[in-house]
Amino acid sequence: MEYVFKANGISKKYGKYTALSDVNMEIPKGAIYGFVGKNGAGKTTLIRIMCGLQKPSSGFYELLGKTADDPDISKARRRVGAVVEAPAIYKDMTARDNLIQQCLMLGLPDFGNVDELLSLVGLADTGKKKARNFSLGMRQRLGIAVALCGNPDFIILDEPINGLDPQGIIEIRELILKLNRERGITFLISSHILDELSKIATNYGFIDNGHIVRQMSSNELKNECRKSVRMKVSDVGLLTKIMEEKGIEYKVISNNTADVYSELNFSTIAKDCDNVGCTIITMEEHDESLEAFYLSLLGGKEDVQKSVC
Amino acid sequence: MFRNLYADSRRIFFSRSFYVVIFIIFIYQLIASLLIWALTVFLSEGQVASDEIAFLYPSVAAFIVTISTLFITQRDFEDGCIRNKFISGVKRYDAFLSAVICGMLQGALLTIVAFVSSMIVMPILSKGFMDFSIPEIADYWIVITLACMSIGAFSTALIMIMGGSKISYVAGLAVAFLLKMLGTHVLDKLYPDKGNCMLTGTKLELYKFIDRYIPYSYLLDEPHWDSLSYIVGCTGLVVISVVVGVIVFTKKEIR
Amino acid sequence: MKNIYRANMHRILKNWIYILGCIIAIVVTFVFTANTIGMSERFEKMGCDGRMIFISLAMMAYFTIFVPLNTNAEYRDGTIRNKLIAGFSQKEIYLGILFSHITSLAIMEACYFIAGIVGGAKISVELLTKSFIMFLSIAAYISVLEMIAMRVKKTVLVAILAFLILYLTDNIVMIGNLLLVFVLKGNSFVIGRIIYNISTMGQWINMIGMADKRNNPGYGVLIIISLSIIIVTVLLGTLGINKRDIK
Repeated sequence: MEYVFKANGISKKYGKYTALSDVNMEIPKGAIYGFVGKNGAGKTTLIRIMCGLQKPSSGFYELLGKTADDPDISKARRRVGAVVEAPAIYKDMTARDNLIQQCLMLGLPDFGNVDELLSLVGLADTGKKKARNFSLGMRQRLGIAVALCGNPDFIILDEPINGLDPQGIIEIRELILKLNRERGITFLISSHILDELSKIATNYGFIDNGHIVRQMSSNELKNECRKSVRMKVSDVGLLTKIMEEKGIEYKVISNNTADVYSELNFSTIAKDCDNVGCTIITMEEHDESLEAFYLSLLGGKEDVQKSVC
Repeated sequence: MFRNLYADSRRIFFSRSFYVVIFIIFIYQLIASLLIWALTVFLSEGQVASDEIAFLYPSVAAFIVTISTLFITQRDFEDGCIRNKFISGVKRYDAFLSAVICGMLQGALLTIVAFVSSMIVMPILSKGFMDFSIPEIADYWIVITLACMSIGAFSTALIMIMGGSKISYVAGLAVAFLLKMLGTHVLDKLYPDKGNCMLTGTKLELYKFIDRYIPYSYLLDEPHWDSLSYIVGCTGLVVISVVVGVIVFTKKEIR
Repeated sequence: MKNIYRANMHRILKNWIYILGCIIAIVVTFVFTANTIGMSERFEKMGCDGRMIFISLAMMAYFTIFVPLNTNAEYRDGTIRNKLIAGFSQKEIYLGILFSHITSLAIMEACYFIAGIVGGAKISVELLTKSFIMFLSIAAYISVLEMIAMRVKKTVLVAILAFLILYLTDNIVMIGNLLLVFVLKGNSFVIGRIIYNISTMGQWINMIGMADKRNNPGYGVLIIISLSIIIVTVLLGTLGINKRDIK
């Protein structure tokens, strides 16, 4: 498999504080990689290292096939776009001028794609308005447009839907999916809004306390996120007896509700309950959300598993 | 108003930059005095009179006070903390007046520090005053203090008026520099080294006005006007800063 | 680096503060050179050429404000990150921005020169030489400001340090005049003279003929001093810059 980014044992220390510790990470080509972690986990630090803003204290990485000390790394970086934390835009320039600046800096021969990019992010009608007068959402969109200049192969977005309204969130999501599908652009998206991420990510990386805890594909995540059937019955004690006889995992929620973690044949269960005199009031399927999975993986634990990749 | 004033004043003493400026005053006084002492003793083979090293601070006072007010007042805009004040109900003119009073406080405190540092250095490196009596020394330091307070008020008012824009970073410093240049030119014309003052008419009156009533000029030479002129000049600058500042600041849009 | 230079020149040429600066340079130079405001005594005696060189110092004051704010915008707006992400090194960014500022000085200098000629100054070898020396001297000053603006990220500190440099250049000249005329002799005079002419104002005072003739070490030496300042500040400014972390 081809990777756009591979990190090998990356650590980053700021004085005595360790922001990243022995991080191993792979981002497959063509993926939309969801990068998830608590505040202060080290996401932005790793992103800064990826973007060349900072150097790791130890370890090495490969970006689009080039290592950091490769003389051709700058050519590889030309194929990368990023929005790191706050969008980096000239506040005394218009949206158009900001994109022209980026095109000039990338050495692009013309500015033909500027108008297309502005339409793509919904800023086509900003005219002569200076970026300092933009709303937060508009600045965010402009930052994304700047990252898209030069048709990059790999785009890094640090909290891209910060400040966007619901319509804007949908538009950015669809833009990411479109660019990924049509142009094969690989994305790394760091976000706290897990439900939004779960709609688009094809791969995930979970980071905590400077370590990569898990990396997995979205399929693996689906399998891991536990499905259950929530049953509301007249007597939960009778239900638990049936479950134990069948060897089915369950969890009692209240004196009339239990979650059953298994594929159930509803007809069989109904018959068994009827036999023991237990009435089934309601049954509904539950998927463990990404949030719940995230909390079970990272939330509230003192000892975090080190990188398992 | 007083709660806000207390909070702003307290912030001065929590600000690292204020102590850095104090340190700079000490270092400047020490190094400049040592330089003058070395030049006088080794090159001119003379003795250093206290007059030469007691009043080194005025030549940089305008700059130092402007820096201090810039560090502390600009922070409010940079960090966005000025918004917290208005959100919690502080009125515009309260916030402005409080900032200006704190600017004056900084001017006064820094002058006191300069006075103390000169009193420490003087007896070590010099033999005593040649041309100044004790009342004259006291008068000079009072004028310096008043001038620094009014400059502190003015530069704070400038920052509050322009706060949040790029120009606010340089406006006070540019004004201090320009007025220093102007004041030097005015002094040179009014009190030439050789011969008499050749100015007449409107030009003479204008130059005299600048020398007599602009506090930045007070820091360029020892006092040579009556006390009332200095009080009027300093008060005038403070009043103009406050009046214009309040009018502009109450209408200003804060981002 | 070429792309950084081009991009920054594009930005400067669109900046209204710079355009206004060029317009003011033209107007003020013309007015001063042609003496349309009727200045008397010392300024009348200078002649058109002398007045033209005299007013060139205003560009130094202008760039004291322009260079730090324009350069520091890279940190304030965070746009230096875009350049680093695109693969440029911090050294390339430094040099690209420095050269664009020196080019902007050259453009302003051209405006000033044309305005001076229109105002009555005569093109001569002397005028061209003095203008060139002033250009190099202000370029050296810009190089110092650039070093500060690229190494110091806080805007307040950059503004303060820029004006501190301006103050220092002024004080070097004031104290230097005194020392060079009355105190320093022999080797100490030679060293003092070089330090005096490191300051842009020192070179300016020599160009307008207000300093003692002995303070002028010669046009060749002045050019060497300015070029040396540029080289030293670039070396110091780029020392270890690529290892710096950017947030």
